[in-house]
Amino acid sequence: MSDHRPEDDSIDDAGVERLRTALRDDAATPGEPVDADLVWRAVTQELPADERRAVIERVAADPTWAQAWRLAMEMSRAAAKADAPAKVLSLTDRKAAQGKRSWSGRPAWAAMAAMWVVLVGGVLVWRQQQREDPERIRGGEAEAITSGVPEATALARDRFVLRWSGVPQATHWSVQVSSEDLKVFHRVERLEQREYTVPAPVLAELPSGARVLWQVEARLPDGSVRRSSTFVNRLQ
Amino acid sequence: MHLELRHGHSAGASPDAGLETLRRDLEKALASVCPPSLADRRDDLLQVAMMRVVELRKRDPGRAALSSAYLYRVAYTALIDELRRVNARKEVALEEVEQAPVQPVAPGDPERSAGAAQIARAVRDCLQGLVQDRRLAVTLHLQGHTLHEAAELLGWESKRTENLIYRGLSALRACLSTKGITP
Repeated sequence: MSDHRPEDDSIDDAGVERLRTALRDDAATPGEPVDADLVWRAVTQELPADERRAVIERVAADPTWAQAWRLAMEMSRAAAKADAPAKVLSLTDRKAAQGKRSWSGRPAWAAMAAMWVVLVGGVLVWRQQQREDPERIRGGEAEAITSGVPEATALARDRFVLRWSGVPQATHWSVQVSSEDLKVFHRVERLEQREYTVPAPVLAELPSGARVLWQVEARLPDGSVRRSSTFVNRLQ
Repeated sequence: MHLELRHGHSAGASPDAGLETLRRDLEKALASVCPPSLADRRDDLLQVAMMRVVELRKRDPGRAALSSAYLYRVAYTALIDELRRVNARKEVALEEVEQAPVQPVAPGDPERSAGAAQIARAVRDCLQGLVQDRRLAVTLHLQGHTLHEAAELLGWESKRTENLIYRGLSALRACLSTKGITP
């Protein structure tokens, strides 16, 4: 009996290339808005693996996200190369390199001691950086976006005004509104005020008393995004 | 998709030389990533991204010596913003001319675009039918990642990733053939 099954026929390199070309040439129809910051952090592996996989799921399903992924891939590769200094060793560097090689003949404890020094030094530098530049701490207290609408407050359908504060350096804001089942039913971008009134027609299908979830994103001057936690208010 | 190797401004060149390198890299990235329908918008997209970087440096001169990673990230974010706007305008324009006689509105070969769209749609449909791990591995493969990169991104071992890509491509081929597409 043969072990050959139809599914054993994989796609050869030329076939894969044809599919890649088709995916690239497909004019991406606007789908879900791309979170550029999220895609960049996934491509550069700043996100944990499970969050990276969640982004790749969106890349599989949405051509706009796939296009953003390819751009991030190209740009991050180019950035890595641009940051790489010229690898021309001076005589001093060469001597230092030779010195490093001579470590290989020394006892293992010496190498371990050196690693410890580097590790402890690294931790100290990292802690110092955290103290000097709290903005770098993702989601840190100093950068928290807080709701200006108390959670217990029920808001009128025709005056569903969301307010927030924090992140003074933000250049503009986005707001995403979801229903209790976490379906996003409204999103607005490039707001310049820390306030937004959800249009009444958007809320028309929700029953009175429904919980409305909303989240704010601050866009910083460098293009990065800082997200709030999810706030909840009821509809009157 | 290969970018030539060169040295950045960290090697002692001026920050403007760094900007020039960034501009070249943006041009290359756009040329290799954007569909033909956006070919006539590449210059605008490039300009918008570069303006964002220049504005940022003007606003904060102390950051003139920013790392390439930072500048490239800013340029990337500006590009995505602009692409979103371009796509949104395209959508509105299509709605406006819905009743008008069909005219090619974008450069490039419309037949090729239509064919690409059909294949791309079929690939996306078929990917959704794959087991999740295979879907993720094949997606990265189709995005142009090497096996090593895909394994790192997914947080899996190379051997496992390789197996998933192989099995995933087999299943993708079988699915595409049911849609009349032979890769």
